[in-house]
Amino acid sequence: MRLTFWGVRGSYPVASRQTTRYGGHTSCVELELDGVASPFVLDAGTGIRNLGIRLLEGAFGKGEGTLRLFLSHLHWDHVQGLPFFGPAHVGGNRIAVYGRGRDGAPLLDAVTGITRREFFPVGMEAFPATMEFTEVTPGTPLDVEGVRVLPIALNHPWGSLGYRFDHKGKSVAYITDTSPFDTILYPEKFVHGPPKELSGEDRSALAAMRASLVNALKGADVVIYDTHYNDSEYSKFPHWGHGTPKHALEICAAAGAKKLVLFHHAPGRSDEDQDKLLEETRAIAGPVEVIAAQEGMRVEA
Amino acid sequence: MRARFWGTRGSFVAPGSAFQRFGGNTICVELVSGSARIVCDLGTGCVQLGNALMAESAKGGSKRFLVLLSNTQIDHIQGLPFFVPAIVPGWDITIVGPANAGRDIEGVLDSALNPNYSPLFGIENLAAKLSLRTGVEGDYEWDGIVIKTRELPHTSGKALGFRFEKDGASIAYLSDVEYPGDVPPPAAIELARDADVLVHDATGESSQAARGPGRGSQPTDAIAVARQAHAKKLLLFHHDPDMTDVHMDVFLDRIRRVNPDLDIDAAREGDVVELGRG
Repeated sequence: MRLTFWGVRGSYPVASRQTTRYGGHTSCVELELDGVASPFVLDAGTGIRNLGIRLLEGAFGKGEGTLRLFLSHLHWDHVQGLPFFGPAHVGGNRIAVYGRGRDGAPLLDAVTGITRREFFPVGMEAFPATMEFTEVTPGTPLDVEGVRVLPIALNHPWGSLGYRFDHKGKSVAYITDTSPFDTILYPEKFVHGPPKELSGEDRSALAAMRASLVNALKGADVVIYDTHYNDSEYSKFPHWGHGTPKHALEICAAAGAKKLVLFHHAPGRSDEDQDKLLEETRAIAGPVEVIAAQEGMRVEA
Repeated sequence: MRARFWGTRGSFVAPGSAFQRFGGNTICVELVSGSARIVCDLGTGCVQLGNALMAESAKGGSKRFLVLLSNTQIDHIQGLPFFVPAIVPGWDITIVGPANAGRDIEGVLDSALNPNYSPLFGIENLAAKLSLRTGVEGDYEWDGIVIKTRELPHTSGKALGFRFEKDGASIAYLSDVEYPGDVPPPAAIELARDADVLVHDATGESSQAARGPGRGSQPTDAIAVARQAHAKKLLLFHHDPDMTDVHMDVFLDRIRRVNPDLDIDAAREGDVVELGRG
């Protein structure tokens, strides 16, 4: 299993001198698996455009590629690269999209909504590549080309999905976007701030969600985790659906995960500040190895 | 009047060290005259503008301005959910943009912020006082700045082009235009007529064979409009996301050599252009 990070930033892409090292593109990670022909791709943030440029050099340039795209959710920073993904504009390619529609709207409708005429010149249904959509259910594993894929429910406005991939005795998990499980359980509407006190019902729903996540991450070799905030940022915005390295470490330690990859960096975080956050996290990481995702970085599992 | 380029990139952001001089943020241009302020398009460049406006208002600056959207493609609106003056209370923002696919501008922006795509759950959760108006052709005025709005052809239907005048100075703003048969329509010439500065899309100049729809606005389109309208200076923008600073230098050098009689430059993020006396 080999991971390549094409986009590591959260919220919106950042084109600043202060972020050139960690990178400014939003969420997109490529997962290559031994003996599996199709690349697996995790989210379609702006980073996916550069992945597309590279893929066009191979089978996808000839319209002979198949790709598996796993979407955590559909917030713009996780999907806005898809209309600009080169392989989608070459006939013969097949792009299988996995994710979850909400509120009665199937995944297909929600995803194709980003290329409505107001937002993009051509609707996704008219893209030359074949686009297929598969709805997944948290907790119900799928077999995708011999890879076990487990979708995991996360705590984020309108919901988000993590995924764990198991193949030939190795495992990688992609856990974004999520809040910790002790402050807020997102209702089906906009929230101005976290509740003053959690109801008993919300408390037990959160506890169940956390337990499922920890269980799903048991012994994982690599866990990519939403660590958008540092502690002081989180204290100001605990209701925007993200967490900190401490939250990630706590989950990874409980699950006995081996390596934590800090991911979904806040758009305002400079390279220097990200270095500092990584060092601070390593200092308290115990047995968990910690690295921070950088655009272009490769990680073996 | 003074124009400031907060974002110069078209279609898609271009982060990275290869794009630092011309800039990687998608389009956003601010026009200021005295206390009057107009913002053209809300690409990612508007995030930095928003932060600057917050700092200025903390020192007593005006909290009222106009936003004009030339169209609502992703690169023109992707900064909106992160544009602080729109998110926090206390601001009075008028947004004018085109209808598309049967939706007025409010419907378009609301669907961009629906819960599938944004934790804001819809435009009603932007805390600023927003006035949304679907833009149509016409001649308007905003705090003493005269605005001419015209419809221009674009792959997705139409784009709005703008001309701004104040105290004898003029600037035209033509983004995302594609001219059928390479012939600029009369409306484009009208907007750019004798303008001090013509800001024109040149995204069709790409460093690699694009895989995507539409031919893009060609530099030749921009040159044709500049010549026919006798614009005094042509400022290319909406740069293709694959055009690195080096590509841009080579392109600019070539286009200047072919058109030695024209004053041509390419907009760089952070550029400030002074127009007239104030």
